[in-house]
Amino acid sequence: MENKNKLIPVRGIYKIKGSKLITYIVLSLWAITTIAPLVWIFINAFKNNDEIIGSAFSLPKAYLDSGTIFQNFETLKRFSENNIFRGFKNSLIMSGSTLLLILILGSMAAFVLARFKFRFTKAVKAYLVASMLIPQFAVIVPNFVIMKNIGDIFEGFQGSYLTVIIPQVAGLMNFAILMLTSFMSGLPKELEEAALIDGCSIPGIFTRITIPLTIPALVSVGIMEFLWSYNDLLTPLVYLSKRNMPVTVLISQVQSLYSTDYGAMMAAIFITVLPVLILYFISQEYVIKGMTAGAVKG
Amino acid sequence: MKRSFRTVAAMVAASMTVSLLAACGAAQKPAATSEVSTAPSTTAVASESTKPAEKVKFRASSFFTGGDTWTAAWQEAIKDFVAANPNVEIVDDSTPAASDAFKTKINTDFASGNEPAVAYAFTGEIGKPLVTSGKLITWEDELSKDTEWSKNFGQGALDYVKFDGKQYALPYIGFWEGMYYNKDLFDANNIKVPTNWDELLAAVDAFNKLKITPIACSFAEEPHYLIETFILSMGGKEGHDKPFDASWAPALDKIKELYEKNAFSKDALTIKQTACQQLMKDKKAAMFISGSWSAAALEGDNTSVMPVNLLPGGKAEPSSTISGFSTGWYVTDKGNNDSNGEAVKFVKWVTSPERAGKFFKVGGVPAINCQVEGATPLFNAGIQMLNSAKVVTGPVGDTMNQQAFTHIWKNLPYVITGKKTSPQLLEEAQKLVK
Amino acid sequence: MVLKSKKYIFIFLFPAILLITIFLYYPLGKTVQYSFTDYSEWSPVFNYIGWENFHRLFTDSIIGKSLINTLILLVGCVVVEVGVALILAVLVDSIKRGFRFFRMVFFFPVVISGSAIGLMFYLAFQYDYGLMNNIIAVFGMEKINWITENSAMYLVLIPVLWQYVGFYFVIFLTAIANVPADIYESAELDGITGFKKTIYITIPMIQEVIVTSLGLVIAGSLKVFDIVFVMTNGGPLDASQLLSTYQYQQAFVYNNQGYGSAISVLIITLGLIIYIVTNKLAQQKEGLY
Repeated sequence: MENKNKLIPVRGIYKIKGSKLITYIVLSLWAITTIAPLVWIFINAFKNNDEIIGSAFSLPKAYLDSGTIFQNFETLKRFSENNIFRGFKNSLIMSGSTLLLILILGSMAAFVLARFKFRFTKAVKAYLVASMLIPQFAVIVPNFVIMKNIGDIFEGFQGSYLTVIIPQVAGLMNFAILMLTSFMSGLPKELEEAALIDGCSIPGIFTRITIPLTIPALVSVGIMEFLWSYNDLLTPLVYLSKRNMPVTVLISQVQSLYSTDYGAMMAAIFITVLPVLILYFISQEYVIKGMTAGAVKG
Repeated sequence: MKRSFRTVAAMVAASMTVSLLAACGAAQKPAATSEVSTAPSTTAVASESTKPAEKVKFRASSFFTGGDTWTAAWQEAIKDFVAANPNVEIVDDSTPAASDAFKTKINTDFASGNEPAVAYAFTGEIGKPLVTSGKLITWEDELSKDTEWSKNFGQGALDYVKFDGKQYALPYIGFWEGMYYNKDLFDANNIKVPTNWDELLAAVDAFNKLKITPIACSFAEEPHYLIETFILSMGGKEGHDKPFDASWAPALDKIKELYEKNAFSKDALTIKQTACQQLMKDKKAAMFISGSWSAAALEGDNTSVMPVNLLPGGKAEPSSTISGFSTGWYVTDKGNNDSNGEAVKFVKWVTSPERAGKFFKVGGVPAINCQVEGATPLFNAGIQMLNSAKVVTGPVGDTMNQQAFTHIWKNLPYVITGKKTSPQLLEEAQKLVK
Repeated sequence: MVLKSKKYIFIFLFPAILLITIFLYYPLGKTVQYSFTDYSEWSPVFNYIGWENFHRLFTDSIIGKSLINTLILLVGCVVVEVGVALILAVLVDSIKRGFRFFRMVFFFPVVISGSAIGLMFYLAFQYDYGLMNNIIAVFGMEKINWITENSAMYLVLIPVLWQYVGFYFVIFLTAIANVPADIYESAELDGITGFKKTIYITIPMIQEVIVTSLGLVIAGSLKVFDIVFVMTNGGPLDASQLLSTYQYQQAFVYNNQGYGSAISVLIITLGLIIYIVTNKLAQQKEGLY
C-alpha cells in the first residue's frame, strides 16, 4: 500500500483529489449506516416514549431532569425473575463454556489432523467440511428428542445450560477445527521434532509446544465462536427453560412484552449490544485476523 | 370436548353470583378478615411452616410476565408464599402469552421432560399435550379430602376444565370475549354505538373520516376472538360449537367485508396485539374485540364492552357470549414429590379465596367464591354482559383440533385480502384434522 | 514430522468426531426418517406415511413463497454482500487517513446479535411509533405503512444484507493487503490505474478468497433465521417467510414435527445442490485463468 501511494503525485493532483473525495464520501455514508442505529439505540435507551417518538435523535431530557435516567432499565426488571440482566449472565455462562469446550476439543482434533498421518485424514476432513453445511434448524427436532432421552437418564439436565452448550459445541466446532488445522499445519515442525527426540510424550508436545504457538489463532477463532454462540437465537429458544434464557431470546420477546414501551425496548437492545461492542473494541485486531485467517489462506 | 349449554350457563351463573354476593369463603375464620397483612399468615399452608422443614425448590410457569394483567399479582403471590414458607424457593418461569410463545414453550417443556412443578396453563384441546405427557397429578382426591378449601370452587368451573372427565387442572381465572368500545369517542363525535351490521358499517365510515381506527385488531398475533365472536354471531351456539359448520365461511367473509371497508388499522396485518390494546387506550381506536384479560389495561369510565352479535342474518341470540375457564393450575407428579408436596400446597394457597381475590381484582371471571375488592367499572360491565347473556359457550378455538385452528387464524389474512376464499381456507384446515 | 501413534489419534480426535456425529449427522438421519412420518405434538407414537409430507410440500403455496424468498435472499447476499464488501474494501485500501476507523465501524453490525438487529429494524418500520414515520413526519408527510405484502421481503433483506457486509469487507481488505506490492508497481508503470487496476489486478489476485467467501455467503444465507423471526415472523401473508422460519413454525407452532422435518430435508437438499453447483463453477473458472 505504501508503495502505491507514493506514485500518486505523478498523475495530476486534481483528479486524485476528486476521486479521493468521492471515496471518502462513499465510505462515510456507509459508516453512517453502521453507526447511526447504534447512536439511536444508545440515546433512546435513556428517554421516555414521548421523547423517542417526538425527536429520535435529541439527547435525553425528561429522565435526566427528574433524576431517573435509568428508568427504562428499571422497567426491564419487571421481566419477572427472567430479567435481561439475568439473561446477560446466562449468555456469558453458556457462550463461555461453549467457547472453552470448542477450543479444547477443537485444538486436540486439529493437532491430529495437522500433525498425524493416517489413512482417514482426508475422510475426516471431508466429514468436518460437510458437517458445516448442516444448519442447526435442520437437526433441531431430532436433537430435541435426544436431549429428552438424555434428560430421562440424568436428573436436572433438561432446561439446563448444557442443553444449549452441547449442540452449540457440536455445531460450531467444525469451523474451529478446520481453522486451527490450517494454522497448525503452517507452524514450523522443528521444535516439535526436537522435543520428540528428547523423549517428550505426545500430550506433552501438544500442551507445551503446539498450544503456546497456536495462541494467536486460538484467540481469533475463539472470539468468532463466542460471538456466534452469544448471538444464537434458535438453540436456546427451543431447549432452555425460561430462567436460563440468554439475552437473544429475551430480546425476541421484548416486543410482545412491552408493546409500545419503546424506552424499555431500547434499553433491552442497549444491554445486549454493549458488552459485545466492548469486547470487540478490546479485541478488534484479533477478531479481524481470526476471521480472515481461514478465508484468506483458502 | 363439547359442553352442553346448561353446564356452562350453570357454571357462569354460579361464579357470578359468588363474585357479586361478595361472600368470602374464608370469612368465617376470624383471622382472614385482616386484609392489611400482606403475608399469608392466616392460611393453612403458613401454619405448616412452623415446623422446621427441609429446603425445597420448584419451578412455576405461567404467562404472568412483563405487561400481562396479572404480573404483579403473580409476583406478589410468589413473594408472599416464599416469605411465609422460608424453606421453599419458587423459580418464576413465566413466558409471555402473545404470539403463542407461552403455548409453544409449555408444550415443548412437557415434551422434552423439562416440565415445571406448577403450571398455570391452557386447558381444553390446547392443554392436551400436557395431559398426554402422563406427568400430571389429578385433583379429585385433594378436592374431596379438603372440603374447606374445595367448597369455594364453582362446580361448573371445575367441570369446564376437565379433560376426558378427569380433573387435571383447577380452574382459576375465567374470561369472556366481547367488543370493547370507547364510549367517549362515540359520544363526542355523535356516532351511534352499533347494534346491527349497518350501524357498524356506518360507525366504521364515520371513524375513518375522523382518522380514528374503527376496530383495532392484530391479524398477525391474535385474530382468535374476532374469528370466534363472528362465528358465534353467524352460526349461533350450534354453529359455533361445531367445527367447520356451514356458518363459518360466511362469518369469515364478513371479516373480509370489514377489512375492505378499512375497518382495521393500516398495519392490521403486522401490528401486535399489545399495540392494538395501546391504540384503544390512547383513544386512537374506537373498538377492539378481545377478552376480559384486556380489561385491566383499558379500565376507565369511558370504555365499555358488549357482545359482538352484529352479523346480518346471524343465528345467534343477541346476548350470546363466549366465556369459559380455559386456563387452570396444573401440578406435575414428579415436581410435587420433589418439592415434598409444596407444589400442591402452593396451588391450594393461591386458589384460597383470600389470595384469589387479589388476582380477580385486576380482571377476569372468578372461578372461586371470594370477595373482589375495588373492581373497575369495565370489570363490572363485563360481568354485567355475562350475567345478561342468555346463551354462553366456550371458544371453539380452544376446543377444536389445534393444527386446524392455527391454520385458520394464521391464514385469515389470505381471506380478507381476497387471495383465498373462506371455503378454501376451511377446507385446507379440515384436511389437517386426522 | 509425521506422528503415527494410533492411541493418540483416537484419544484426540474421538470427542470431536463423537459430538459431531451424535448431534449433527445422527439427527440429520433422524430428520430424514421423521419426514416420512406423521410425527406431531411430540407424541411418542407416530406412523410412517410414505411420501405424504413431500406431496404436501409440493402443493403448499407457502413453501413456494418461502423457497423463492430464500433464493432472493441468497442472490441478494451473493450480489450485495460480496459486491458492496468488495467495493468498500477497494476503497478503504486506497486511503491512508481513516483506514483503521472505517475498518472498525464497518464491522459493528457483525458483532451485534440478529435478534437485536431484528428488533431495531422492527422499531424503525413500525407504523404508529416507528423511527421512519417519525422522520417523514418532520417533513410533513403522511405516515406510511412500511411492512406490506409487497415490501416485507425487501425490508427484511436490508438488515440481513447490511449486517454481513462488514464481515466480507474485512476478509477482502486483508486479502487485498496481501497482494504483493510489486505487482501493483509494475501495473502502474504500464499505465493501469484506478478502476482498471481493480478489475484487472486486484480482483483476479484475490479470486480464491472471493470464491471461498461465496461459499460462506451461500451457507450463511440458508441459515438466516433470527432477524426475520424477530422483525416480521415471516409475515404479512407469508411475504417474508423463509424456509427456516417456516420450518420453525411448522415444527414448533403448528406442532407438526413430521412436516417440519420434510421442510428441513428440502433445505438440506437445496444447500447441497447449490454447494455442488458453485463448486463446479468455481473449478471451471479456475480452469479458465
